[in-house]
Amino acid sequence: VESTNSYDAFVRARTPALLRAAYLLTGDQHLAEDLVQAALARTHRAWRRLEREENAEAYTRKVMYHLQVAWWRRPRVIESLAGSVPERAGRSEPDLSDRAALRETLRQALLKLTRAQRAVLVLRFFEDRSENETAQALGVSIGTVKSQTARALARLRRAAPELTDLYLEGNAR
Amino acid sequence: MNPNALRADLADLAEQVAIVDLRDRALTTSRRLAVRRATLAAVALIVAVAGVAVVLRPLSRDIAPSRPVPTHLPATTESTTVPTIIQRPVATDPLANATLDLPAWGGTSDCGPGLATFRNGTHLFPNGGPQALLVKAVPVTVAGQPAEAVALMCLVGNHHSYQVAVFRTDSGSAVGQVVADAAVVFELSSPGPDQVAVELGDRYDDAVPFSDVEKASQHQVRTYLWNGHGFAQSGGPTAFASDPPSMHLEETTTALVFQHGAAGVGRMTVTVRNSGRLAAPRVSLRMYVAALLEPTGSAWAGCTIAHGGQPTQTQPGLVPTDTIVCDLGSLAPGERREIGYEFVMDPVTSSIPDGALCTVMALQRPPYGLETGLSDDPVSAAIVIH
Repeated sequence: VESTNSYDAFVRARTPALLRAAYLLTGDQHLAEDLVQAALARTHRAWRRLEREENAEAYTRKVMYHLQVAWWRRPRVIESLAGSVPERAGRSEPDLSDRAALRETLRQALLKLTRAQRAVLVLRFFEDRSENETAQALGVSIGTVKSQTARALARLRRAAPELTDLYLEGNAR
Repeated sequence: MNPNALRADLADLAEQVAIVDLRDRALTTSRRLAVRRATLAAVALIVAVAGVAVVLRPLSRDIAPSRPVPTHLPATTESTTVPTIIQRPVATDPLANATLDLPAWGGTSDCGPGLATFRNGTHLFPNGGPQALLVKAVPVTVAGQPAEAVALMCLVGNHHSYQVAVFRTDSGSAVGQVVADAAVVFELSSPGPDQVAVELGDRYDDAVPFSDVEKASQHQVRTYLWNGHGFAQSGGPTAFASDPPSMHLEETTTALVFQHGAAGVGRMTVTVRNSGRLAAPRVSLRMYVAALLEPTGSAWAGCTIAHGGQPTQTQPGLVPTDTIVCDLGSLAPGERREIGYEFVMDPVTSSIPDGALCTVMALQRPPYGLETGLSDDPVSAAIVIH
């Protein structure tokens, strides 16, 4: 019972953060839910030996990123690329329209990256992981992280030139 | 590129996801995974976790064939010794509640050097540092003095490593290092004075929680001998093969087809193939069959059936299932085995409950060899009634 309670507490505490990362990885609400659900299920299977919550967090994230890559290799899983972001309550004020457009542009641009590139970007720039930590999470070398990051940023520039202006070094936001 | 701007926009975009409670969905998937793992041990674990008194009836019986057609090789006599990873702290050994002077491991472990005080086999380094687990300890005599060979598992986040060293029983000081870094330790023993034997594995993929490391890892037993100054390897291989030959079992099945008016007998064909480069000994076919299906016919010669209890109590949506195990013997590299199985459904009914499936999985019986490309997904035969 204690184990179940600790797992429940872990899930409810960490699901929001996991969902946010998964949303960036998948670009889709339902795919993000599926991804986090799958990772949490595997964490549940391994719960007894994870011993500590920080281990569980790291384990879940690693599984999530690896599943994302694995799903990419499974042809029967069709990624939702064309859907639009659902309207959210309280997010439709006119003065936020530019920001909403920017978000959608970024989302579409991310979906033009490979999954590996997206994973590297999310780990490096959303999760603020070092190159070494990113390499460990994805099970690749640091060199691969460096090259994938460079390619991802270059592709992002090509996919969304309008973002390039915003992301130029030194440009005030 | 301005990374701070990118960070801010990624964070902003991530906020668009709707937060939902995934607890129940995750637990449901977890249970499905356990079923798919398709081992009796996993089923037992579900029962234990659920805390439900499920009555398992481990009554095995031979399935009598309707006519003696020995299509299967007889089951081989097997060792019951299954190597398993040692990964739980031992609490009862004297050193499990002692202070050990951990040596430096050459930069391969975050656990040490320095004093580590273990309680019930666990030591937590301060400030959220690594966790050292004393997972195995065996007595060993070194230069006539009592000592203990100890396997330590060092956990840092989702990374871990194993170390083996010998400590004095009385003081906890290090006598000598045996293994500075290993992906997996399966077993630790002392075959004689001044000797330590370690069964090692070459891989442990934490990102694939259901990979059977016992199968997928290379196994090596290496022995080490005290030479008066330290432990030096005295036997066994010194390195793992970079591309070892392996076995890879694949299974497919046709639908289980029943014909109205055909005495309720349904048929399906199961194919098992070893696509690896290594012969696969002790291959068995494990089937999870809805209890409403009764095996019949000659192909079941030598198979055993175990009634699997009442999984509906812990796994809503699943119907009672029997487990049938058929030994196929050895499969040479590239060998393909095709077996036709028959079931009786009485009466043949089109109102089959949801979850009433016949799932099939090819497995190697222990002791395990090097099996790669492990699949925890049994294939399911659709039940079709014409």
